Amino acid sequence: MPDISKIRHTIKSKTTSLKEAAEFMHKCPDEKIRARIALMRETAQDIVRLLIELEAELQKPV
Amino acid sequence: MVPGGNFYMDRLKILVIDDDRLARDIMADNLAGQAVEFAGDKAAAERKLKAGHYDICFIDLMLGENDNYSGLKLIPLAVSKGIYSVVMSSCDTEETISQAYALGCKEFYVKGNERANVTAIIARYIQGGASKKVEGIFSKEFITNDPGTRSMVAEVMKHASTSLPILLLGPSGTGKTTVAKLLHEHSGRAGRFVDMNCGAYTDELLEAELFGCKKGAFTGANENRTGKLAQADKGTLFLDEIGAMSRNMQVKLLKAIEEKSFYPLGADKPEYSDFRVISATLEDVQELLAENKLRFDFFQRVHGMTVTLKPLAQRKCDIFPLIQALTKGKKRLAFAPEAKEYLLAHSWPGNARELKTFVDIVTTGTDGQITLEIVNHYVKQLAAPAAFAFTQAQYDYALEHGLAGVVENLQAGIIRRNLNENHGKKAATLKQLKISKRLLYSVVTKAQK
Repeated sequence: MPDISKIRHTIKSKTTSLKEAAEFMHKCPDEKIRARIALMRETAQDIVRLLIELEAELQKPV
Repeated sequence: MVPGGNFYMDRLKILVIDDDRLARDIMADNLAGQAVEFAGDKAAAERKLKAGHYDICFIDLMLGENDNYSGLKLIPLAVSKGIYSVVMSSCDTEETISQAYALGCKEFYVKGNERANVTAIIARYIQGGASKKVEGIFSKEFITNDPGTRSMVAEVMKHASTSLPILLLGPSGTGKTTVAKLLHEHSGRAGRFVDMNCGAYTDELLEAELFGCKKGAFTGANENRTGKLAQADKGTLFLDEIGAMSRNMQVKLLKAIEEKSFYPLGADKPEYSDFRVISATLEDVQELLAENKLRFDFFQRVHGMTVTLKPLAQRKCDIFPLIQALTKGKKRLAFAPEAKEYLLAHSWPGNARELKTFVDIVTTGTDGQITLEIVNHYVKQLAAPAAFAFTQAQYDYALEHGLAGVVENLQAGIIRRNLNENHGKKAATLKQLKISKRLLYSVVTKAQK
């Protein structure tokens, strides 16, 4: 069973990476930008999935 | 490479352990220029740590979505291999932080500001081995036996690896540029050291020099030109004679320093540059502030730490060590006792620069036996004001852009100084400099902008 604190940790970690990537997107070399955006999209999808998991965990009876 | 090795020539070997692909990709950018390897899980990290020899290891603690902070278990392995271990994690509980430090990690960061943190970590790693070298600079790059100067320079060198703005004060020839270069060399910053003498340019030209320009931005702008701010990306921008900059220019530069972005002349998109600012002036800063020549907000932005370098007259113990260093590998000089006394009594208004010129002259112009007569003759010659003296920066600028800009700036500088000396009385300046009212008012108006 996933630990709620671990889900939170992973959400925080992935959100931070996404924010960092967005903040310095203008510095990303042209030849890398497509791959970077794909990674960012993948990370964003992970965050959504983890949020859904977190919601489900929180709805479970204690 | 271990601390104490050749820090400035080798690339650091770095291992980044992180399960997040995007985080690894960002770290690859942040560590560009170093030899970087990656591991995405604990097993790969263990293999690499056992097999490789790394200088620094960045460790994420949770390696996988349901992982049990296995990154912690990697710290002792990295430490046992003598690797400078840094934790970069989203986990910031006190318990985990204490545990990581107890296991031997050197630095612990909560993820979120990697770009700045990584630069600082690398600089600290380099400085860890290089701190012993700071003492060494006093017998090589910045020769001084003066205890006050040594402690001041050593103090400022502690901030070499930070982005703290430094303001260097002191008369011409006291070593401001040397200290600025040393700070850059010990900063660990990958970019260039870019220096700029603000006193050598008119306002318009200074703006183009600093911010760059696009083709067609003004008459004569035949091609895109990269400005000093962009050239100093990831490096150091050394601004000399900041007191010569107009208030208008100070506002523009202040904005660029704060935002690390700027518009080149004629550009419709901003450019970005991650530069560290070191500035210098030979003028009295308090006077510049009182006379409104230096904006307080600009001054605040550039004087994170202020270092005042003493003139040679106040550190005479350095005269002969400097002479020895200046003649290293060349003809050595033998000074008669009276000649030594004369040199020690001289006030050296041109400081180290004047001393260097003196050494150059006597090295080539004499047989090396320096008598009182020789010293007397050459020192007096140097002390005589050079007619139509100009700086190297002015000369270089004139060669590149033509004489008009330099002349205009020199004219303005002389007029402003004379006005100051006459306590702002324009009539006196008009009379003494024999100039037209029009010229005087155009200079005064520009200075007030």
